Amino acid sequence: MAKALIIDDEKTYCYYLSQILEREGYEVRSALTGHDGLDMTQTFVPDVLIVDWMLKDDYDGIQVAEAIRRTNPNLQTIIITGFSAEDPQREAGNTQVFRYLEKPFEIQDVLNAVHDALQQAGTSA
Amino acid sequence: MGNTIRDQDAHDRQVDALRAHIRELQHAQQSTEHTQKIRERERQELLAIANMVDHPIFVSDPNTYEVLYANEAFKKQWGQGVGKTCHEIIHSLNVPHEQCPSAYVSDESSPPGILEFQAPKDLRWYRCIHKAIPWPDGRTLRYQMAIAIADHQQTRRREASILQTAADGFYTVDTQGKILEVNQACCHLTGYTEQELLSMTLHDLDVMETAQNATSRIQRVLQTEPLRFETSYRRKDGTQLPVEVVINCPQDEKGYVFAFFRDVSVSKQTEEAARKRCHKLEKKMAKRDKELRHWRDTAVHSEPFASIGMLTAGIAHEMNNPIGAILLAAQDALASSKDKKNVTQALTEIVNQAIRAKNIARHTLKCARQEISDKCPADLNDIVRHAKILTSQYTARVRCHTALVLDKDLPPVNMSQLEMEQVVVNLIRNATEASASNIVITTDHSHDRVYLTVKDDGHGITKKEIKHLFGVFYTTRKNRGGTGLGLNITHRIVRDHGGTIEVASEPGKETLFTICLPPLLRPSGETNGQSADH
Repeated sequence: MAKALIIDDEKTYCYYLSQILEREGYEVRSALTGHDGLDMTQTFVPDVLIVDWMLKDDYDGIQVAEAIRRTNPNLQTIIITGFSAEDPQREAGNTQVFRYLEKPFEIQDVLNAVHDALQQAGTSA
Repeated sequence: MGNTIRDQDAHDRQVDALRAHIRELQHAQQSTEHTQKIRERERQELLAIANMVDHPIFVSDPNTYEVLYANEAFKKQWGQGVGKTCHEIIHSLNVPHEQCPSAYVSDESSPPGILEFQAPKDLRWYRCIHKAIPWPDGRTLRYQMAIAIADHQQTRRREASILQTAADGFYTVDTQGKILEVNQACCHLTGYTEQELLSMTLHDLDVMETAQNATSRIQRVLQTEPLRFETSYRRKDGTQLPVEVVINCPQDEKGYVFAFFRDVSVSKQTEEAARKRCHKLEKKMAKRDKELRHWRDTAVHSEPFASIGMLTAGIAHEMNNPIGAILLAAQDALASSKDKKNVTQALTEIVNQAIRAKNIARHTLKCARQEISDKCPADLNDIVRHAKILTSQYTARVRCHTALVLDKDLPPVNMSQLEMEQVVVNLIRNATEASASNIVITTDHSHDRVYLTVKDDGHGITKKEIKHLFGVFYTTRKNRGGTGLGLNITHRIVRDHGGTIEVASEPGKETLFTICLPPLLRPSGETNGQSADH
């Protein structure tokens, strides 16, 4: 069973993204800050990371992805953002990001992104 | 017999009369002799004095022109002379000199006359003072003293030629303002001929002055010092000539004043043009100033979002979050419509997010309408967080990371949230524009102060720049879009909140802005717990 980690400072996103993915059979954890999300990865190794680019703490989505990839290089990252995707794309630099999702997005967009990401990594739900 | 006696009486009376007549005659003769003696003595005294005078003096008969007396100085100058005519001696002429004053010599009571002449023998100029005097033989003769004025005359001629060639107008007037002398420039500038001017008075010429004023001005010059003033002269053609006049009087002579005047119409026109230009510029400046003030006032609202992109990105981000949440919740409700609990939860979420979106829209409209929200108690930490979000796209673009270290127990501050948000946004922008890679925003408090600090590792601010930092339109980024308004507005907002803003910078290392605000009073004894915001 593929594992997904969701990090967003908006509770609503954490809740619904978790709901949607869990319904599709993924094992899901969620966190409101980058700090908490990183803490979770000590016991929970995600295959796919869905993270908001702008977090309300010291980390941003790209930094969190970068940190997790150090111990989990196969991690597929999906960045969600309320801004234009160009900005996090520019910011990402060498950090591999599978897909950028601009808010507002639909459920199907998330499911497609996770599905494609896992296919890329050779893992499926 | 009787006849004889009568004849004798008549004879005696005649003899008496004759005697009386002879006595009278004798008396008259004695008197004349006495007068002649006195006159002779006076003459001798006068001539003795005349001999002591260094200037040539002679006495001549106005009818025959014969020189009857010449003093030592005369003899020295023109030889013996006595016995010859004055024109022979002085002018080497056979006929009287054309200027010879003999013709005017009338009676002794007339005042002395003065004339100037050049003697052909030595070519020297003399000023000749002449007067009718009585001579012991009863004749009225001409007394004349010649004072050599060669140097004076040369100076005068040189002066005259200088005055004639001068480009400035020149005239002399007597104490009553009557014009005595003019130069060519005076004629040229006024359009009158010399003869016309010599028949005029100064107040005929001066448009601005009454006769009384012109005369009193002359008196002032005579009594005190030279005058320099501007006036207008009336030209012959009726037009006016603006002039600058300097009036003075000769040092030793108080009978007249002289003046130079200059046509200042060109400089007047230039001055007028300059004044008009100046006035125009002043008007332009005032307009510009007004515009700038208006701009500054309106910039209070727009400056934090100096680029429209930044503003719209901030709004879009704010709106996208609730819209995205609504979309997810609605789709989730549809997907799990059989689960009533899920649907209710989704609808609740949708309502909440819609309200959130509504508030954002209202906030944006407020900004657009430039309403400064009223001051009310608010959490500065919320302001900082929101400012970070508003600037996040921008900071990300310039690869600048913003960290927040927020005081969890921060007392509320009475503030205009919109304005305070601008303060934080301005400071973040300022740091990014100083090429900072890291910004740390801290909140903290003491018993009577709430602190907000913004620290960055940009290139810093020099001491010289710090002096002007909060001044309006001061910018070091003029060529890169800086308006010089951000920090000025920041300063103003902080001041309006009863706070202070300070800056400390170590160029090349770090810059720290510290804002101090008065907190709303709340019960004492609360702890100061600061930690990283999560």
